[in-house]
This record gives sequence, C-alpha cells and structure tokens, in this order.
Amino acid sequence: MMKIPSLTRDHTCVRGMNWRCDIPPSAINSLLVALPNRGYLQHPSPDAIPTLRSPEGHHILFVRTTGRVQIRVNYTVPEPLRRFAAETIFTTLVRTLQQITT
Amino acid sequence: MDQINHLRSVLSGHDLTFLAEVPVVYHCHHYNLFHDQTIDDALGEEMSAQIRFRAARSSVGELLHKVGHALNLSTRTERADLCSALLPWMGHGRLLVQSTPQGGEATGTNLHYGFAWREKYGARIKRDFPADSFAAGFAAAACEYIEQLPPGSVEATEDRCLVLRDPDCHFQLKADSRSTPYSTIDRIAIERHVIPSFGGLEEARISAITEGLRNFVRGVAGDDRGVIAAFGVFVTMHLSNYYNGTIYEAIHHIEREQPALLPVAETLFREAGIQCVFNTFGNMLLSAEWEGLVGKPSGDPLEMLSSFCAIARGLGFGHWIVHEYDAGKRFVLRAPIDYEVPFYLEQYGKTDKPRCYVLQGAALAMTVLAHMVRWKDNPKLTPEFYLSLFRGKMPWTAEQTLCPTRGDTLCEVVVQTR
Repeated sequence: MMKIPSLTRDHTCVRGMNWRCDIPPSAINSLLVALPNRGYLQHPSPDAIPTLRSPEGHHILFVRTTGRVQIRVNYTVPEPLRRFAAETIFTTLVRTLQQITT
Repeated sequence: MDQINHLRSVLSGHDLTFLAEVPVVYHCHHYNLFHDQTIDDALGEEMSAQIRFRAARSSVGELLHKVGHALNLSTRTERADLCSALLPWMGHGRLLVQSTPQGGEATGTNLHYGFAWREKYGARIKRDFPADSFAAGFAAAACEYIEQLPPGSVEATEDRCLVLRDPDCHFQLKADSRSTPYSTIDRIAIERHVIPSFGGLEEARISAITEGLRNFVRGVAGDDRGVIAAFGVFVTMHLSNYYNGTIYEAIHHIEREQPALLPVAETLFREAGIQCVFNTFGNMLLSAEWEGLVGKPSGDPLEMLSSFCAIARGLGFGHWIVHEYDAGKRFVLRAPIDYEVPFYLEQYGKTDKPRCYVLQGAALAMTVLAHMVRWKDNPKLTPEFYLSLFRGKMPWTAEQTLCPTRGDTLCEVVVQTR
C-alpha cells in the first residue's frame, strides 16, 4: 500500500499559487495515463517535466527524476481560494494514485 | 503565433537574443516593477511616466515594424491583428487597440505591470497613479503602426488602471503633428560592438544548461490571458531598448540636473540587478522546472555561480562567464558585452565610467546568494530574507573594473570580501 503523500506550499513568490506533494517517480507514468480520463489534458512541456492542465486551467507539473509534483493554481483564482483549488486537485491525484497502486 | 516564434534568433557566442532582429530579454515581474519604481524614485512619478512611455513607444514601434516587415504584412487588418497578438504572446497581458488616424483608445486586461503590482502589493500598499506606461507606449506605437502615422506622433494617457482598483486598464490615444524618430538599436547595431567570445570556469556545464533553458524558453508564450506563469513568477519577454532607454535617460537627467543625487540613483539601478538575481534567478533555481531540467541546487558556491551564468545566458542577458573564483574570497564575472553596453555606445558614445548597472548588481547578488543561502534547505525568497541579505554592511563589495562604454574591450565585475 502506498503511503499517502501530503500537500504543502511549494516555492513561489505569488501567494498561494504553487503547492507540492512528492510521489515515487515510478508512479508518474501511470498518473499521466490515468489522469486524462478525469479531464486532465497534456500541456506542452519538456519530457523531463510532463505537465497536465485541469479543466479549470490549473497545471500539474511532474518532475520525473525526483517525483516532485507541483500543483500550480491558476492565477485568476482569488488568493483566499487558491488553497481550496489545490486541495481539490490533490484529492483527485491521491485517489487516482490509490487506484493505480491497489 | 508560430510565425512570430520563428522570428527568434540568438547572437552566437554572445547569448543575446532577438525577435525580428530587435533585442529582447526575459525578466520577471519583480524586476519589472522594481525597474519602473527606480525610475519613479529617481525622477518623480510624472517625469518617470513620460520617459517610460517614450521608451516603450519607441522600442515597441521598432518591434512592430520589424515583425510586420518580416511577416510581410501589408493591410491594415494584418497590422491590427499583429498588435492584438504580440503583446499577450510576450506575456504582457491583452490590449484591445481601437485606432483611427486621429488616435482612438485601447483597453487592457491583465496588463503585466498593473496585474503584477496588484498581485504583489495590492492588499498592503495604496497607489494613486497608474502603472502601465509600457502598455501606454505599446498602445501609442500600435496606433502609429496600424494607421501608418509618423513615429512618435501618438500620445497615450492611462485613465483607468488595475492598481487604482479599476476593473481594467484604459488608454486615450491622441495623434498630433509632432513626430520623433524611434530611438533604438537592433541586431546590426549590436554586432558592431561584439568581440570574439570566450569561455571561463565550468564552461561545459554552463553551456549545457543554457541550451536546455533556451529550448525551454523557446516554448514559453503567454496563455489565453497573455500571462506567462513560469518558474514561480510572472515572466515577460521584454525589450532591452526599453530597459536601457529608461535607465540611461534617467541617469543622464540626474547627471545634468541633480549631480549630487547621482550616487544614490546609481545604487538604485544596481539594486535592480540585485533584485533580478534574487527574484528571477533565485526563483528559477528553486522551481520545479529547474529541478526537472537541471536537478536540485546543491549549494556549492561554484556550482551556484555557474548556474547563475547559465540563467543569464538563457534569458538573453549576454555571455556571462565565471572568469575567476577563489572560494569564499573572490569572484570575477566577465562578458564580452551584455545587453546594456551596445545600447549605451550607440546612443551616447564612450563615457568616463562603467555603465553596466544590471551587471554590477547581478555580480554582487550572485556572490551573496552563492555563499550565504542554504539552497538545500529550500529557502523562501521573501522580502524579509532579501533585506537580511542585502541591507546594511555586506561582507562583499563589487566593482566594475572593465567596461566597453569607457573603452575597455570587455565587461568585468570583481566581487571580493571586505
């Protein structure tokens, strides 16, 4: 059973825009296959950092080498609501991850 | 937009970048806001806004003509379409220009300066004058270009602005009979000042990272709102003619009118370089993009200095090299030229002092960040952290010892311990 990752603020100087969790790098490819079924579409990016775009315009960046996952909330979301937007994506991510690994 | 993307080029060996032969660099919103604030502080808001507007109108006017020429645009509709597309593609937000031969109006949404100012300061600082002189210059130049009016003949006044808590930004455009030739430089002018390039320490690593960064940046463009959110900051492709035109006009005005204030002004312009390295370079190093493309920063000072040089090259600042490094004691940054030098020499000729203010500040900031930041601990690049590093008496001093603006063959900044 995979340990559930935790969501923390990620590095940015734009308040509440970036959030992160860390997953096993080996899970990234499976997520890239599974998440499009939940409406997340591939966004142009280098292969080293595959990126998906949510239906609401948020982005998820995966760092292949380290497993760092960055949830980048769309800047149009008012600051007080950015955490909620990130948590919503994070929940989807964790559920998908659990389905993949069970 | 693919057509515009194909107009990018690089001056080989010098890491200066161009769009349709017009010099461009990438800067983040922290630098852009600080740059404009510095001009405001040096000249006062009214004169600053005028200088920034004129520099923008001039640099954008040249860009529009060169891009339009390269794309073989001939009709009014084609010219108007270019004006609508170019600003958001560069990450400056959207601007709807409704022009006539007499002027017209323009309405902006998510314009970079106003939008970024509100994001950075909005809740804490009240501002009572508009922020978008660059967009005002763009609107005026667009009107001139679309209506085929003489260069410098359209004035723009921003009468609504996001930073004034208006819902959007709005500009009144008015054409008159005056005209001013665009005062900018292009690739041909820059090439008059290049010397054979050279390398330094860690050259192979720097070159490899630069190549990767440049490939990444090549794919970066504004989203459907004309905003580029990358590396944890808002990024713009910007015109180095704008930065140089505003800094040097401000400096020369102070030299003429208030020479006693010159040291303070020069310190501020150097601080713009410090801000750039702290915010743009620093955020890049801690970004997911950097971790994926290069790896996590180790914190080793020489590795950090070489990473900073690679970032500078990737963003189009010039061929920055680590010429000397004596661990913890001395760092010598060199470049054949940077993006400041050719502009100064073309516009003003030789002078009696070094004029690379961004390079001077950047070299100091690179040294401080390489030695005084624990990169492995994932530091937060907050304003408080900035002040703790750069306010008060620092353990390092920086001096530009070589500068082509005063006749030297290359740029050199020496940073050493006090």
